[in-house]
Amino acid sequence: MYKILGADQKEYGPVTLEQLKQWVREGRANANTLIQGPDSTEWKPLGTFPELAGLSAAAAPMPPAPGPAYGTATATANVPTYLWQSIVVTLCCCLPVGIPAIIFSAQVNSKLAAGDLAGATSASNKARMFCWIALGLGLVANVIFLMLGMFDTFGKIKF
Amino acid sequence: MQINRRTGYVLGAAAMAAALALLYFFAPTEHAFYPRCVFHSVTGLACPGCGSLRAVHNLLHGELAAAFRLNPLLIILAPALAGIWLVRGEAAFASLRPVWIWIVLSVILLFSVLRNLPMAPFTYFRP
Repeated sequence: MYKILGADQKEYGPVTLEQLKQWVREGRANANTLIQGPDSTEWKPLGTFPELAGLSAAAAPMPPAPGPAYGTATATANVPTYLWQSIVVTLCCCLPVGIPAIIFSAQVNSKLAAGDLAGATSASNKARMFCWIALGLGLVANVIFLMLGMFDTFGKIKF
Repeated sequence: MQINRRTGYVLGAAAMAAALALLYFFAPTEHAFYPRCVFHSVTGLACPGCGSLRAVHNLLHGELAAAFRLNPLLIILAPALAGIWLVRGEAAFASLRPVWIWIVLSVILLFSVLRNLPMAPFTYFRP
């Protein structure tokens, strides 16, 4: 079973593969529509699902225009960049892990601009992963340091 | 995630308000319960976020100059990010030209190096 994220940002489903194919044929969903697969809780563009990819390409009346398309549209809105989250964890939690998060976040933008939706989604997932790692490390290290009383090594400068 | 978006915003705003209230009433220099910078404790160096809590405390009390001195990056970057987010929403970040992100990253790295330099104008911004 699949779940689908409508243009109204609401979740629909679970629906069967057949129902989803029907929606694509009717033009209610396209390659950029976000779908949650049967064994996943992750939102991915419909175009990245092999079982649906051919269908949506055939059904899509207009392929995405090549070249930079900054600020255009529905497709960009559906792939989170995690930019501000990356910056926040870099400053507040863990500098070394926050920087890869910012780099992946920048890749989301450049790949979206190049029309590479699958690449952008993958970079977006990596950015999110690094954000969580940075946050987790920051919190865990803080708790450990607090328990061991290691904070006074270099005077009393706080965060 | 999408289905609970509004709940998320409400919870986020409430947490932010609580954190700001805490920072307003309890100065980070006088209370030990605040999280501390592990990077600073390990290396002795100031990370780009060091001084943020004290800077926000000062800012909430209207002491802009003191806040700027503790963490100039935060005082510039936080309102910029918050402004983009509030005015144009999350999608604005996706349509940002990648070059801006590289600029922000370079500024963060440059700031981290500069604020640790042991000479005159830079020591002023040591938190």
